[in-house]
Amino acid sequence: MKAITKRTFTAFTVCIMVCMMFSIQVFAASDYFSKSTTKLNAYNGGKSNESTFSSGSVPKDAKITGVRIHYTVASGTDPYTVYLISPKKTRYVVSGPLSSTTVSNISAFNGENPEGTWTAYIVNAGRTTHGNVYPVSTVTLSVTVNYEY
Amino acid sequence: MPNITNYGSLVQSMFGGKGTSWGTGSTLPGVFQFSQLNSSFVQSQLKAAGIDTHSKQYKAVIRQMTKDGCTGSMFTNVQAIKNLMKNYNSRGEFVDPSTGLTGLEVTDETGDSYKKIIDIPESSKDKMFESVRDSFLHRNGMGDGKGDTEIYMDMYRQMKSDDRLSAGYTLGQYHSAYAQAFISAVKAVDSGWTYGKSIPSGALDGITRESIENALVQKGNTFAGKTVDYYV
Repeated sequence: MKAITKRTFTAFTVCIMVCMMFSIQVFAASDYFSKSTTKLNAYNGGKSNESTFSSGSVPKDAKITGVRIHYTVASGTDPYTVYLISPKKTRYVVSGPLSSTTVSNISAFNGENPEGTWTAYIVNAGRTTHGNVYPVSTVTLSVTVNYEY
Repeated sequence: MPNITNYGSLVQSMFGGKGTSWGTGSTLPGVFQFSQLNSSFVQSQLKAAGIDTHSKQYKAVIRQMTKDGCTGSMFTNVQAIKNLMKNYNSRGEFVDPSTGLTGLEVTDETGDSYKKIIDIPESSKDKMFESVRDSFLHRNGMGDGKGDTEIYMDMYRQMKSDDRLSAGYTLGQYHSAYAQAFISAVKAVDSGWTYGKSIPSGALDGITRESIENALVQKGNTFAGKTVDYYV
């Protein structure tokens, strides 16, 4: 009984070591970069200024694993649409929140290489709850791009 | 000189003065509630502003407003609709103002259906191979994307709008395959190599685009190498 237990333990230990030898090589490293846009202002169905930011230098085989956007929304902002464009020009489109918040787990860019210049802008949705003003939206975005390589 | 604290009245006076009737429940020109959109009064205002309410651009804007939760009690206006219509082409497709391209849009609902390998121009693969090789030869495997965006843009212009997302995905797969091949070659000479470390002299000699692509096997919507992959 004692011999069987010892043999089982040895086999288990060897198995773990072998698994580690082969698995360590495929564990990918991960990193991220985080950038903020300038203040984006859009008025009455119009488009805001475009804000660009660079990934900086990243490994050539890097792949995006997720993007997080923190919205800093000015008080009284009317509805708007956010456009976030990756360096390969994939365009993520989403209705923006009307109060400051963070949205994580955006998977639209997953698998893309993050290197290069990113672009962000908003388009005012052209509607408001007030009949005596034209709609205005003011937002600043903080974008965090996670990647592995 | 009195301080102006009520900017609303200032704006109103600029557009015709307080008390001017421009539509039900509003004092600004062209403003109306969304529920009044199809009324003859609003439709005549839209037409007077030069908006073709039968156009695909107009329909795309109204469809998007409805989709985004514009309720009947919310206010919009003629100029806002006109401004929003500028984002669409005559086929009702959104045209990105920063690139002038259609068909590259993904939303939270898009899913992975566009992630498939399709035929793309050989010239795009050539340029991407050169870009990746240059990163390994001159920047030790690091990249800042300079030049790559132009490769994608050039390819998109050669593709149909509906194929652009898949084309971008495909070129990304080639990009990754080229990088993996260079990593494997460097690791074969220096097993401790990591990104940013100098590439051993001659380690990348003889690697061509053809030699890499001949060793690729398509597995589903990705490429796999016939050789062992190395990861750093």
